[in-house]
Parts: sequence; C-alpha cells; structure tokens
Amino acid sequence: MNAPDPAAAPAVTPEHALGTFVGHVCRYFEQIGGSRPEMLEPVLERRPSPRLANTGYMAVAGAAEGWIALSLPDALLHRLLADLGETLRDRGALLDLTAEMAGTITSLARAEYGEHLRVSPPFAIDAAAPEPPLPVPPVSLKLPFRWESHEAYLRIALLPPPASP
Amino acid sequence: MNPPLPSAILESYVRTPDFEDHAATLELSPALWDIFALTENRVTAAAVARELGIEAAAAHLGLRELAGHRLVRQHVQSWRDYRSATPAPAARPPETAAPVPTHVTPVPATPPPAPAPAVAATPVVTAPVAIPVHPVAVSSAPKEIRFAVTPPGHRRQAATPSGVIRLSLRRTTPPPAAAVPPTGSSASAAGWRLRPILDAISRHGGGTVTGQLLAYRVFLGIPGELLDRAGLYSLSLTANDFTIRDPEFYAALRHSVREVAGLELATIDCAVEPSVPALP
Repeated sequence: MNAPDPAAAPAVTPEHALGTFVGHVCRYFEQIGGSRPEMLEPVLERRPSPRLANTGYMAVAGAAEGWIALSLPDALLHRLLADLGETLRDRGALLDLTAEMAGTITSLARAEYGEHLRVSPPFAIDAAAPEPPLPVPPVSLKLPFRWESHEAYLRIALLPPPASP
Repeated sequence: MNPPLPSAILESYVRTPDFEDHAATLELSPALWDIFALTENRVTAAAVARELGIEAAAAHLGLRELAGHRLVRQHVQSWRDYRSATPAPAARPPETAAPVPTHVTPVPATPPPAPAPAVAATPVVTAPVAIPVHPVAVSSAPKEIRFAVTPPGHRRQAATPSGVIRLSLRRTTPPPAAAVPPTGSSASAAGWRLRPILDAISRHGGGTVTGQLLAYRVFLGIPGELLDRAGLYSLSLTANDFTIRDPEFYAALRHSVREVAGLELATIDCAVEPSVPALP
C-alpha cells in the first residue's frame, strides 16, 4: 500500500476536524432521540468545571491533538435508553451508552477524516472515578448543550501550540 | 493493589475549586483528613509522607483516594507556566516538588479502598494503560505520554488503525509577548475590549462552532499566568464585556491571533479610549 502523500492531502484544520465531532453529536441525538440539541453559550475554562454523572473520552491526534469529552447527566441517558427500548437503568447501562455514543461519534469522524484525524478507542467513566490519564491543557473549551430540558456538555481539550521561532 | 511507580509519589495534587461542596457531604477516616489538611498548597505524596511520617506509597494512595472524592486533583502545568511561575529560572527545583507531569497515573482497575459505600462506584476504565516512566528532569524537550485505553464490556468500541495515540505534552517557551508592546493607535488605549476581538476571530473562523474553536486555539497560545493575572478563569465566548487592561496580555493575544488565526489586531476596533475625569 502506498503511503499517503502529505503534500497531496487536503488541508484539514483543527477547527473543522473538531467541529465534525460537534456535528456528529447533534446528529446522534437527532437520529436516536428525534431532535437536535440546542447549543448553549460556549465557555473557555482555565479550571475545568466538574464532570457530570457519565463522561465519555475520545483522544484525538493528527489534525488536532488532545481529547474530547462528552459529559452527560443520568436523566438524559435514561431518556435515550427509553428511546432505544432498553430497560436497564443501572450505572453500567448508563456508562455503556455513553461509551457507545462516543464510539459512534469517533467512528463517524474517523470515516470522514481518515488518517488526518486519528482517534483512540473511547472510554467512559462516572463522576466518582479519578481523572483519566490524559494531558491537562492550560485552557479547555466547554460547549454546553441542552436536549429535552437536560443540560450536558462537550469539552474540547487541545495541547498548546508549539512556540513559533 | 500494586505499589505505585516510583515517580507516582512525585505527582502534585491541589484542592479542587469546589472541594468544600464535596467535603461537606463526606465522612472519611482521620488519616485521610490528615493528608487533606496538607493540600492547602500543592503537595506531592513524597512531601505528605515526610510531613506525616508515613510511607510514600500510603500517602500516594491517600491522595488518590481524596482525588476519587473530588477533594483534590492532580496538579500539572506546562513547562512554560512552570518557568513563568518560578522566580529563578536557572535554579533547579527541589526533586520532591517537581511539577512537570512526567508520569500520568493509570486509572486503577479496581476501586480504591473507600470507607464510604457511596463512592465505591466501579470505574469502567481498565488496563491496559502503558505509560513509560521518564526520569524526573527539568527539560524543555517534549515528553510523551503513551496510553491505550480499552473499555471491556462496552457494547461498542470502534477499532482504530493503531489503537494508540501518542500525545506529546509540548513544552514551549512563551512568545516574546512582553518584548512587543502595543504599537500604533492602540498604544495609548486605556484597554482593549475582548468582545470585538472574539467576534472577529469567530467570523474569520467561518462559522459558529468552527469560529469558537478557532478562538479557543488562539487562547491556547496565551501563557496561563497571563490568563490568571487577568482573572480569566472562565470566559464566555459569546457574552462577555471583558476589557483587557494588561499590555502584556494584549501583546500575547495579538501574537497568538496572528500566529493561529492569521489576523492582525490592529485592524480590529477594540481600543478603549482613556476616560476623561468627570467635572464636579
């Protein structure tokens, strides 16, 4: 197999690569839950606000380097599980769904950007778990959204840019 | 439970911003509160062990337990931030206080021993987490954290070509922000309104989300201590009336806007004219 030619590859900006995650999150809710979430006021956070009950992490590299977290409250997941016809509501089921959402979103992003955006297998943890072993950037971007009266958020955490000469 | 890696006792911990909320609902052993009492400033397990006369491994476990209760969190910072906060740049910091995150502790496969049943939730993350341990040394060379996380039991886990992403914690030197004072008409300004700058970046970014992401990347290029000095711990990208008063902050922002977004702040009308004292 021939190695991809970087010179011939179309430019992928971090904004578009990460923006696709936001789009896929919205589409997930639209397809599974029947309506798109409403994006709320984005906030730059020097000190990250607390995680919600269930958080899925997606580490990315390539066009953008860092990680994306999808943090969701129990009530929102209960509603999605109901839409999916699932009857389980325990913590395992909630974390399974969180990880599944993250997996679906990363699969779509990977399909869209291929080798330009490498995505690690996502994982999910609850609010009581210690912080995962991911680099902590000096600033992260919190993108809150509301779906069916439930508030949740995406967190974008990128590594700082290299210093210019 | 496996003993911590030697470098794990050098992990720094600080109290979380909302530790009081969590502490109000917790009952812990006095030994844990003894450790927590030492976290008013950032501490390492080694320092806690020395202070309390206990094993470093026990101190590390205690700090991890406190982190599980969200009373403390790991404290890491970039080399740039560290250097900026260190008054004597040439001085080598004490080994037990090394703040550079040369090691990231994997999430345990089993929950830590918790005296309160309410916190015995099972973490979903399990091994493998492969993290090379680098020697603790103050260096500007990039360090890499290599990890792979798999969620067994999850109903879906998409495959990835490599399965592992190497994230490099880039240590960067700060841009020559202080050496580039504001020039032109803005030099005499009493401040600079942030809102028009953010709006211009967002427009330049080509849309709502992509514009916000571009603004985020611009702020990533600003040294953390300048954000702290300006009190920007949390900043709305769409509704803020923040005025930059710090020329160094403005210079760093101008530099980052140029480097990241390709924009010139001089073209954005954001200067706040010096106010004229009101007549009595």
